Amino acid sequence: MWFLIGIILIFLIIVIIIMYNTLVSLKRKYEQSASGIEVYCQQRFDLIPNLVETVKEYAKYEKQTLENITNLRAKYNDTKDLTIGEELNNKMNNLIALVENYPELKASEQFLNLQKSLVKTENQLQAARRIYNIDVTNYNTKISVVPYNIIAKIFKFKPTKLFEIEDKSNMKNVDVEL
Amino acid sequence: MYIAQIYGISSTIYNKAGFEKYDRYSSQDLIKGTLESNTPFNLAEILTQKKVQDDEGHIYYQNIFSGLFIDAKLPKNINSTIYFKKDKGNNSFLNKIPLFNSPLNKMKIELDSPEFEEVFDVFSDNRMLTMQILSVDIMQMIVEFKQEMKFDFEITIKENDLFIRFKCGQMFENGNIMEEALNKERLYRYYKTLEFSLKLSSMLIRSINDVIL
Repeated sequence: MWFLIGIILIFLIIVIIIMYNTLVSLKRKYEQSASGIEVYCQQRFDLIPNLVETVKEYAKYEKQTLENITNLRAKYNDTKDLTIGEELNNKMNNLIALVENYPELKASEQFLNLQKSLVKTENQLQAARRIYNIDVTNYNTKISVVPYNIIAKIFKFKPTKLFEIEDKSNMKNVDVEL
Repeated sequence: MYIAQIYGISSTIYNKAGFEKYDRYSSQDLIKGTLESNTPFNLAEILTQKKVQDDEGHIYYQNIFSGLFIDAKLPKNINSTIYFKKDKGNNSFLNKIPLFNSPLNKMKIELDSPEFEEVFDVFSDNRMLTMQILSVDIMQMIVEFKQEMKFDFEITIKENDLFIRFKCGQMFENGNIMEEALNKERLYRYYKTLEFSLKLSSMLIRSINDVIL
């Protein structure tokens, strides 16, 4: 009898270890993806001073928007918080969409040069975001299904938020009267 | 675009796409053209066969692949390889054990489109690059084509080559070309396949151009 209980206990311990390790590796995977987002966010946000300078020259009425973006970038640099990164990237995209209202700015050599880098970093960030969201979804799903939810509760694995970027097609160009 | 009917695509080019091994290769009905950014584009019918020996020792050839094959030179080298292969449902428990996992399976990329993953398994040595090239629009277009045309197809992007092959069988068999040329359904399938190939190639080229500056 005790032998049987012993075998069941050993079996249970092995199962718990395997499930725990699965959760840890899924967590590590999304954390790694998060660091990918950080890298691409940084590359993208490094373009902000240049973007701000270029826009400032042609779109003097956007002073408040530019200030907001500059402040948010400083905040992101201090904290490296992905939620702030998310907000900053969305504001940056809105600013780029705003350029449509300024034909001279859009056609300027300075902006055209910058645009290539903006497109590249945007693509990289989109891809990094998709990778991160896949990994987070896998992790969140795992910790919510039986029997992993029990292990997750015991070892305090918590669900994580996805990284959202506003769809460019949903962005409205802001009409500005000059 | 023009038709160079005498020739097909050489087996050396076909082999670069990394499809299965064969014993006999033939190609015909080559169509040549250029896509945007002056990308050269070749399309031809391909037939590959393997040698099979029956119990009595007779040797015969069995078809492995019969259909259209496309080769386009990309303007930029991605320095990597991406395979889109038919989803074989290799998600069994055994495949999750490293010992039983093939080298190709280890390269499998997880995507964010369940519809696309139902049709294709994607393998690559560069996850980030694959996600950058394989935009949501491209995945959707591939799924829609597959749903409409039903036949299988595979895509390989290797360095600066793009290869697509459609397992659609021979579109026009020798001998009764007049009869087949008047078959509306067959012509529609051929036209849709050509249209899809050109559109997909152009979208991939644009995507690669955005990714690699």
